[in-house]
Amino acid sequence: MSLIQVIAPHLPFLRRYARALLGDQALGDGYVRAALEGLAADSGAWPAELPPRLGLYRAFQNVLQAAGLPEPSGAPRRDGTAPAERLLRLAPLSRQAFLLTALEGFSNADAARVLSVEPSRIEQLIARAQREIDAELATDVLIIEDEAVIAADIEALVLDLGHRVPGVAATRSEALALAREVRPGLVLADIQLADGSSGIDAVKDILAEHDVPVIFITAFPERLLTGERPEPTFLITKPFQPETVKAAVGQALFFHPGRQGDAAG
Amino acid sequence: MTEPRMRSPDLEEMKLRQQAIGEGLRQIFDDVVNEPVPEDFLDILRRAEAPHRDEPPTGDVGPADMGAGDMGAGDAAG
Repeated sequence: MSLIQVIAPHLPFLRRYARALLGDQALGDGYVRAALEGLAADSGAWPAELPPRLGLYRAFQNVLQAAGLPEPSGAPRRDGTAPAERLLRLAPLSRQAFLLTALEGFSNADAARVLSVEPSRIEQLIARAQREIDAELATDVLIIEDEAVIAADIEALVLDLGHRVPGVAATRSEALALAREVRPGLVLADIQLADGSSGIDAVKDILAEHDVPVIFITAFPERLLTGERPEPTFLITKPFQPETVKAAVGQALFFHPGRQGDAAG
Repeated sequence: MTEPRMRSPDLEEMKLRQQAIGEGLRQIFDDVVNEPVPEDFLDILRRAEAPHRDEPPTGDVGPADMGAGDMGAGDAAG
């Protein structure tokens, strides 16, 4: 099988990785091009011991290692969405391990082969990336929940993630008052509240004044699916797994376009 | 105000959180996957296969050295 047949199917994915890693498609393509030139110039450079996709990523990694990852300049990039910028603030090797696994779907073992490190090192790097992300996203979380036990459970897992909980609201009016006071970075809301008021209405009130990501946690998801769903919102059904809520919290904050890196301050 | 008490996530939790962000990242970056590969990339590979290899291999240059001499970060941007 020819080199082009072996390599070409994997190039779109390598370009995706390069763009996410470097924050700019043209810059990423420059590194991909250099990797291909290296392979073309020296047939011995192809890491034949690896499956083709891993071999291609390894060749790219070799160029990165030789040339170094450019430091983020601080200047706006062409791909400068908030999540893309957030990635660039991760330490380089953590960013690579995180993207190889989360974005490219490599196992930890395969990511280790690409980066030429021990698999246990990948686990450490991913944990470090996660810590860096958590620290950057730390914010004030408003909980709208009328059942005290559930509110306490939600509060506990939110605190585990490093966020602060300035208060829990049990009704629509309490929620709006608290949101005005604390300007939360995230809202976790039940739908059916203590005084018969609606968490959906509470969230609409808040979103009318304040751009904030929202996660509904409800035993009545159909009310959200059939009604007018405020955006941007996520939905989790009760009873919930704490890990699911934590994953949704991270996702909602990471991808919210309006979030500022220093909002936690 | 209840203050945070951050703890280390277990492996399963970390995997779920990573998957959640991975899904979102693919939505952002997947347009690249659907674009045609730049023609010059394919030209490089075609050139590598062309029967011009009458020169002997350059010897001991291994993968770790590849691109080190002709590629700087600044070049990559161009």
